[in-house]
Order: sequence, then C-alpha cells, then structure tokens
Amino acid sequence: MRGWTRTIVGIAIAPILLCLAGCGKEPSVVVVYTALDEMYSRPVLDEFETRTGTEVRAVYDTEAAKTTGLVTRLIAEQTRPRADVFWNNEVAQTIVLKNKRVIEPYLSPSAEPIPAKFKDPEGYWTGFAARARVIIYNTDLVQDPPTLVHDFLKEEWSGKAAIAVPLFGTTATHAAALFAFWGDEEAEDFFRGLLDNDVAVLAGNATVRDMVARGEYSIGLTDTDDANGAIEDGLPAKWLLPDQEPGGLGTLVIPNTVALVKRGPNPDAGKALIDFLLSPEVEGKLARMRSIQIPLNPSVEAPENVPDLAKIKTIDVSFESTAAKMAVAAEFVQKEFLR
Amino acid sequence: MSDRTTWSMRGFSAATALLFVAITLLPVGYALIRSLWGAGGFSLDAYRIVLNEGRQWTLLLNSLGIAFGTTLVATVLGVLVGFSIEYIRVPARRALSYCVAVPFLVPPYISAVAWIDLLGENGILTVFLRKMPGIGALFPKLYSIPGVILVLALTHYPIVVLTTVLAIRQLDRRFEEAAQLVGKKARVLRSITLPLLAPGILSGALFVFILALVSFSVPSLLQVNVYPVEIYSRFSAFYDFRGATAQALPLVLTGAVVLSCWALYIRPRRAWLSGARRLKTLSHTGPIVRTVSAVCCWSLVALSAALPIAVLVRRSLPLTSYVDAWLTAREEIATSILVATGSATLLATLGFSIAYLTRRRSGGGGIYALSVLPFLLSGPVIGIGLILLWNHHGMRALVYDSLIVMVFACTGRFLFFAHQGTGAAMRDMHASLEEAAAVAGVTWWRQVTGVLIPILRPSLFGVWALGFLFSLRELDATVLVCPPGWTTLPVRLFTLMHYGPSRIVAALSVITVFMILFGGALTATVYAKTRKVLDARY
Repeated sequence: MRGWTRTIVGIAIAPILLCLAGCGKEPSVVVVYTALDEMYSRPVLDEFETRTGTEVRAVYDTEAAKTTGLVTRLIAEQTRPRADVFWNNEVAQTIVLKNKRVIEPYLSPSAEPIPAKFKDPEGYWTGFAARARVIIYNTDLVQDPPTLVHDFLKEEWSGKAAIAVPLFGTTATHAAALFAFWGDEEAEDFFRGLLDNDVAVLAGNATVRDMVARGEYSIGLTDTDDANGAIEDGLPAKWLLPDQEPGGLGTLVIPNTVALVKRGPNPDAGKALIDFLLSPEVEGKLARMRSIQIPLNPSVEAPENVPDLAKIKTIDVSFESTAAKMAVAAEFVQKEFLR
Repeated sequence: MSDRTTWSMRGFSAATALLFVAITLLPVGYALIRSLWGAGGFSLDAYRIVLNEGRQWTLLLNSLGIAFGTTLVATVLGVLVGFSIEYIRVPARRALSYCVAVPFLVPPYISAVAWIDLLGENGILTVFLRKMPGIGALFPKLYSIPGVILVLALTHYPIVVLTTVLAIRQLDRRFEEAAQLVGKKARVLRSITLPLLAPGILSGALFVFILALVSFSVPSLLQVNVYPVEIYSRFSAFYDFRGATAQALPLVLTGAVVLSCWALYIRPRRAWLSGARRLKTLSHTGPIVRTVSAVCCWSLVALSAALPIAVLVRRSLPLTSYVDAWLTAREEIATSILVATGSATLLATLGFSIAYLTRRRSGGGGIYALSVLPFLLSGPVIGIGLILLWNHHGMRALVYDSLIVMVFACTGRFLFFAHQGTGAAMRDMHASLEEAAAVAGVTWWRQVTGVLIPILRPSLFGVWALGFLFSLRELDATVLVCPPGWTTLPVRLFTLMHYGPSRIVAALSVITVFMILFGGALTATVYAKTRKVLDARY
C-alpha cells in the first residue's frame, strides 16, 4: 500500500475508532436531560458526582435558542430511552411528557416537605427551586413603573415595552396560564392589545433583560433569574412582582420539575439523583446562585434578595390547566405573532 | 474482466450502496413514514394542512423572497469580484482571493450576531447612519427580510466568486479574440463572454439559493418567519413531528424544481468551458478600471469580513474573556473537531465512491437528487429520522450511543456537496487515462488508487475541507442526537448566546472563526502545493 494510501486509511479509521470510544456502559452512570441553564445545573450535577461517585452524563438544552428541545428528543427515544432523569426548568412540558407516558411515578422521600401545589398528585413529577414572572424596568428611564401586566396596554408604554416571544419557555407557560385563567377570548384580546401597543417581541427572556437594561426599552416581562442578572451586573434595572395588590391577578411561580424517565437504563441511579436534587441543600445552593431560585421547601433559608414564596400572590390556576392550554395558546401566538 | 475483479467491484458497489442507503435514505425514509403513519394509521392530514392553510403562502413568499433575493445580490457581488480577480486582474489579486473566502468560512449565526451589533436597533452603524438620512436609507432595517438577505448575501457571495473564477480560467479566450475582430469589447462581453461563463456562474448561484432556502439560524435570530423557523416551532412548541415534516414539503419541492431546471440548463452546456488555458492571460483593462475595481473589492471584503470580526473582537474584550471562553468550551471544541474530521473523511470517501460508480452509468441523476433530500429536509426532521433508525438494541446501539451517529448526521446532510464536487472533478478528467491503464492489465482497484485518486487528490482535498467546514458548524440535526456527556461547539455557542455573558460569546465566536480560518489557510496551502506538483507532472 502506498504511503499516501496508508495515510488516508489511517485518517479514515482513527476518528471512527475514537467515536466508538463514546459508547459502552460504565459501571455507575446516570444520564440526565436538563433544561435548566448549564451554568446553574452543572455545579449541582458535579456535586452529586463528587459525593456519590456516580458519573453524570448530562444533555443540556438549547430551547431558548429555538433549537429543538429535550422534550422532543425524549418523546422520540421512547422505544429505547437513553435518559434516566428529566430535569426541567418549568412544569408544563413535564406534564406533556406525563400525558405521553414518557415518565413514570417516583415518590422521593426528599419531596415530602414540598407543598402539594408543586407536586403531581400521582407522583409523576416534583417541583423545586422556582422562578417568578416579573416586570423589569430601566431605572434611568422609569420613575413610576407599572405594577400590573395590563399596564403594558397603556399608551404611555406604547413602543417602550418588550416581551419574549410567547411560544417557548416560561413566556409560553405564562401565556398558557393566562389563557387558562382568563379564558381564550380575554387572553386573545390581551395579546392582540400588546401587539397593537407596539410591544417588542424579542428572542428570549435574557434578551428582554439586556434590552431594558441597555435602555432600548423601558419595561419588560421576564423571570426572576434573568432580572437578577441585570442587578448583579450593576446595570440600571430593577424588577417587581406584578399584580400583587389585594384582589389582583397574581403572578406565575414556575418551579423546576424533576421526573424519572420510564424504562431508563439506570433507574436506581436516577432515583438517587432525584432524591439529591429535591434535597434542601440543592434548593439552598440554587437560591444563592445568580439565578436566585425560590426554595419551595419551607425549611430552606434563602438570602434576602430571594423572594419569599409565602409572600407571593400567585395566579389561581393549576399547572394541569395551564398545560392543557399550551397548544391553544401556541396556535394563537403562531398566528398573531409570527407572520 | 476476471471473476475476482468482478466480485471485488460488486463488493465495492454493494458497500457504497449500503452506506448511502443507511446514511442518506433510511433516516429520510423513517421521517417520511412517521409523518404519514400515526396512532390512527395512515393519514395525509399533516400535508393537507400545509397545502390549505392561508399563512403557508406567507411562509412560502418569505422563504422564496429570501432565497431569490440572496441569490441575486450574492451573484451580482460574486460576479463583479470574480471578474476583478481573474478577468480584470486587479493588483494583489492572490491576497484578495484568500480574503474573499473569509465571509463564507465564518458560521452564519456568528455573522448574524456581529451584524446585530452593527445594524441592530442601537447598533454601532445604525447610530452613525441616523446622522446621514440619505445614506442611512441604503441600509435595510436588520430585523426584516431585506436584513436577512443582506446578512446571507454577504456571507455566501464567495461561493459565486469561486465558481466565476473557475469558469473564467476554463474559458477559451480564442472565442473572445475572434469576436473582438468584428465587435466592440462591451458587446463581446455581453454576447460571448457572459453566456459562455453562465453555466459556471449559475452553478454558484444554485448553491447560494439552496443554502439560503434552508437557512435557519439567521432568519431565526433576525425574527423573520420562514419554513425552517416554522419547522422548529412545530417541534418545540407543539411536539408535532408529522406537521414539522409536512412543513418541509415546500422546501423539498422548491429545491427539486430549481435543481431540475439547473440540470436541464447545464447538461447541454457543459462542454462550453473547454478547460483549454492560454499560457499567459493578458489583462484587457486600463489602470483606472483596475484601481477602481480593486478599491471596490477590498471595500466589500472590509464590509463582509473585517467589520463583523472587528465587532466581535471589540465585544470580547478584555483579553481574559478568551481564557474564560477556552475553559468553558475546550471539551466542546475537541468534540467538534473529532466529529468534523470523521464526517469530512466519510464525506470525501463516500462522495468519491458514488461519483465513480455513477459517472458512466444511468441513474446518476437519481442518486444526485436523492442525496440532496437530507439537506432540503430540515435538521430536526433528519435528527428524528436518525433517532428512529439507530436508537435500537443490538448493533445499532453502537452507532446511536457513540459519536458515530453525529458523523452520520453530518455526512447525510452534506453528501450532496461532496458528490457534486467530486463528480465535477471526474468529468474534467479524460477517460483515456483509465482506458490506457485497463489495456495495460491494471485492475480496477489499482486504476482507482493509482490513477484516479492521485489526479483527483487536490479536488478530494477540497471536498474534505468543505465537508470539515460544514460539519464543524452543523447544529440543526446533531443537537438532537448528541450522546449524553458530549456537546459540540455550535450547541455550546447557541446556549451561551442566550444564557452566558456576551463577552464570552464574542470570544468563543472569535476562537471559532480563527480556528476555521487557520484550517482554511492550511487547506489552501496544501491544495496549492499539491496542484503545483501535479501540474508539473502532467
């Protein structure tokens, strides 16, 4: 064989052999698909790996960038699941997986202190470390910020407000919750009103935060974790919980949710990971991070800048009702917002 | 031919066919079958919705508008630059040739991020242009169809530059010289030169059209709704796989129509560019034209390449961002290089094998059409097809649980380019070389390894380099099949775009760009050296 032929064959075979190195079963492994931002979830998973010696193989999501999410992958892999645990950063899609029988019940002992509202009654998923929907405003431009989501329809905020496209992530969940609470007609009127008032529809919650902090828009709707990022970066922005007045709508509190994947390859390791994720220690860790995730376990002490769950007025709608409205809200948003 | 030769040839053909079917056709087949058969059995409902829904026309207009607009702008720019390099022969044309390639080497989503900084609502250029109302109106609003066309055209025009330059090199100037005896230069250019060059120019335009038609990252970032964005919405917001696959139907039909027209136009005109070269090509233009052309070309390079990279570098400061970016993504960089190397090798090998087997047989057009399907179908559709095909117990698990599935994803998507590139190079080769070897009793395998491959080595290397580039920045299909514990650089970059500090995104983007530029420079150097050796030999 000539020298160059040997070289070409070597180049052809070597990557294939190296690629094969990616397969094979390790003695102690757990596979987790996680939608929580990698910068927050990785330290928690690394901690689990250090403590238990179980190798954690994670797949992180890019859903906020509109590439196809973990949920689609989990559904497609149903005949031979590769994941043991699904760690979602919200709840509606976890309920979708329950309805499609992708996950199975597991009642973790760590879940006991968590309020019933944030757990599936049949044990399919458990919530922890939540975020709240908030109004963010630029402190250089706004002295008297709006306190209701309906204020986004007022003329004074015409062309000065921003939201993330309500087709993905927590904005989609928020939209579905409004459809569930108000009914389809009133919710559609609200969102059409936003468009008529020239609300800017941006790529994601982080973009809303950046644009408001930069002064390109005066107010925006985002989550507590994104809003806190602006404050920690020393930008001229503050946030508040909307609709907190007596008799008010309330805001949406969206928990992280964790679930055991049905027929996952490592069920015992999966259960151990779920027990760890639901522990007070992990909620405390997530509360102290830049994301200021709100602990649901009442025994967890959170820093002062983390909202107190007991003092938040929440929208009076169940997560199941919200999940049931996801498709309806998405159809409407697609028709009205994406032309 | 002896029995042993016949059997070895059959084995080679069978292996090639098996790989082609497994990598290209089966994932597409699985995806299509899944879109037609659901829990309730066979149903065309998903496709009926695509054909009947009113907003589908808006999507089609947007997608076609962007594809045609990008092709038009890129072709005009590409032809002008190509002519400047090879016809007008501007000063420093070799350096210009290399710099013109840079915009194409930069991944489109990185370009879009840079252009958002430049022409966004409060972009650097936007603020500057607002002070000049007349000139400001020349630049479109970025978050619009013209904005998408601007970004895509500035990224893809180098393709047309390349095909124009190659076409001019193959032009037999004797046609022009004969025509200039009876007509003026302008008329000769219009009536003789441009029609002769049209097949080559249109080949580049075709590539640009297809790339613009299936582009997802730029329209998504600039919030323009086109079919690839709609397909992603169907997956992410509705988990509607059947609807998403059906949404790809207009892309496939449009691509099929355009490719058919191109094939009908090109086939009878292939012989026009004879490959005959004059030993010395004289420049036909005066110094003023050459100088003005050079200034315009370098201005375009500055706008399309230097400016976006400069914006990214500025955004990435301080320099510690590069250390942070490297620490954040060094494993992903290694994974991407590994997958891209494997994909490029498989692409070059399979592309060569298919081109060799089909070049003297009928059915080559069919293979060509089938190989473009995975590219026209959206990345997630192919990703789902790969999961359905490979995610099973047994031997198939070896593929799905390893990086091989990502190599297959990239190879399936870009086989069309590898097949096309190698096939074009083989057509330029005279059959007498192989025939002489056959008469001398050389086996078909030795003909391939001893005659064909050495002569085609520069082209094969070019196909390998293009495959490496495309695979390095591939995101759409690989994000769905990436094995747990592994992440590629594009996935990391896209994640950081929305969650991480922008200086890290910019630093990682700059690292990606310079990695690709370094690879491109290496490729060009090796290609030039190999070409020189072969030119001297033959």
